[in-house]
Amino acid sequence: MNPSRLQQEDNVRRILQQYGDLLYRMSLSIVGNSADAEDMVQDTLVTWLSETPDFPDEAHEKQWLVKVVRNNSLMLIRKRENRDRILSEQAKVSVGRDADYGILDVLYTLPDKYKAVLLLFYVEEYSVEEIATVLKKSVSAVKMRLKRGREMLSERYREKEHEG
Amino acid sequence: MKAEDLLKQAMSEQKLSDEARERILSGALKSVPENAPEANKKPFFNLLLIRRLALGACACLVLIVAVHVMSTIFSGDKKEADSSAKEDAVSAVNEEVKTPSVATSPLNIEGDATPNKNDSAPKGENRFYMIRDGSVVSVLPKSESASFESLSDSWFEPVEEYIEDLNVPASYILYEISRENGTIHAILIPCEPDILSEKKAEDYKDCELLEISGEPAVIPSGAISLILERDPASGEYRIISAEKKN
Repeated sequence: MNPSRLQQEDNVRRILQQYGDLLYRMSLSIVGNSADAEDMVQDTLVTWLSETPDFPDEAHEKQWLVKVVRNNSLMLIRKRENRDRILSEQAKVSVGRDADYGILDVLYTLPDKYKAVLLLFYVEEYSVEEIATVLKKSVSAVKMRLKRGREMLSERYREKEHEG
Repeated sequence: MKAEDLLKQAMSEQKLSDEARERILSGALKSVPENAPEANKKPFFNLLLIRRLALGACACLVLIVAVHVMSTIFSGDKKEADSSAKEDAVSAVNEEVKTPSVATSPLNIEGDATPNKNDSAPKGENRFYMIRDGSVVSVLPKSESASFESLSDSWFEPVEEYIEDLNVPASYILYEISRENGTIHAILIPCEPDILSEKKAEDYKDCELLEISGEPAVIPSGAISLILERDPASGEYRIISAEKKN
C-alpha cells in the first residue's frame, strides 16, 4: 500500500472514531434504518476523501460532516418515489424491535428539521448556539424548533402509548 | 420518564458496530482512487489561466490605442465645442442670478432648499426588512431593527406552521418581510432549484422554510403573500390573509 493510501486510511479511521456515531445517528434519524444510515456515513466519507476539504479547526470539520451526511440522507429519502412506502417499511422494521425503541419510531414521524435539532441537543448534548452554527440557522430558530420538536415528540409518544 | 429522556436513552444505544466501521472504511477507500487528493488540487498558474490573462492584456492594449486615436482625431472638434459650451454656461449663470429658485416637485412645494429625499426614503410605515443568516438587517435605524427582531419568534412561528399545514414537500423561502400599520406582511417564494441558484443558496438543499436575503423584486408565480396580525389577547401573531400569486 502506498503512503497516500495509508494517509487516507488513517484519516478515515480518525473521522470514524471521532464522528462515526454522530453521523450514523444523524442519518438514522432521517432514513430510519441502519443499513441505509451506514451507507450514508460511507458516502459522506467518500465525499470527504474526494474533496479533501481543508478546515481551520475541528468545529468546522464537524459542521461540514454533519451537513453532508444530512444532505445525503435527505436526498436518499427524496429519491425514493413513494414516501408512504418508506414509512410503512420503517413501521415493519420497528415491529421487531424492543419495546423501549418505540420512541425512535415516534422520532421518525417528525419533520426532518425537528429530528436534527432534537438529536443534536438531547443525544449529542450540543448547546443551542452550537446547533445554530452546525445547521446554519439563527439561535431563535433553533430554540423554536427545539420547543416545537419536543412538544411534538411528547404528544405523539403519548398518543402511541394510548394506542398501545 | 419524559419523551426527550427516552429519546436520549434509545438513541445513545444506536452506535456503529466494529464490523460496520470496517465495512464503511473499506467501502469508502474502494470508492476513491488512491491519488484522488492530488488529482483535485488544481495548480493556480495553469496554462489556460496564463493564456486567458495574455488575451485579456492584448484586448486592453488594443482598446487603449483605439481610444487614443479617436481622441486625437476629434481633438480639433472638441476645442471648438468647449469654447461654445463655456459661452452657454456663462449666459445660464447670469440668467439664474436674475430668477429666484422655484420648487418643481409637489412634495417640495414650499421651495425648501434641501433636496427632495422622498424617493429613496421608506414611505410611511411601509418598511422593508431583509433577513440575512437568520438576523434581521433593516434599512431603518438600529433601534427600529432591534424592536422588529425581538418580534421574530412570534411572527416566524405562525409562518412556519402555515407552511407545514400546506403539506408540500418542496417548501418555501421566506423572501421578504415588512411591517405596515401594525401588521406583518411576509412573502414566501417557492423553493425551486433555479431560485436557489439565483440566490446563491446552494447550501439550502433541504428546502425547509428558509431565511435568505433578497432585494424586493418581481415576485415569481407561486409566491404566497401572508398578512399577520397581533392578537391583543395573547399578544401572538396570527395569519389573517394568505394569497397565492398565479
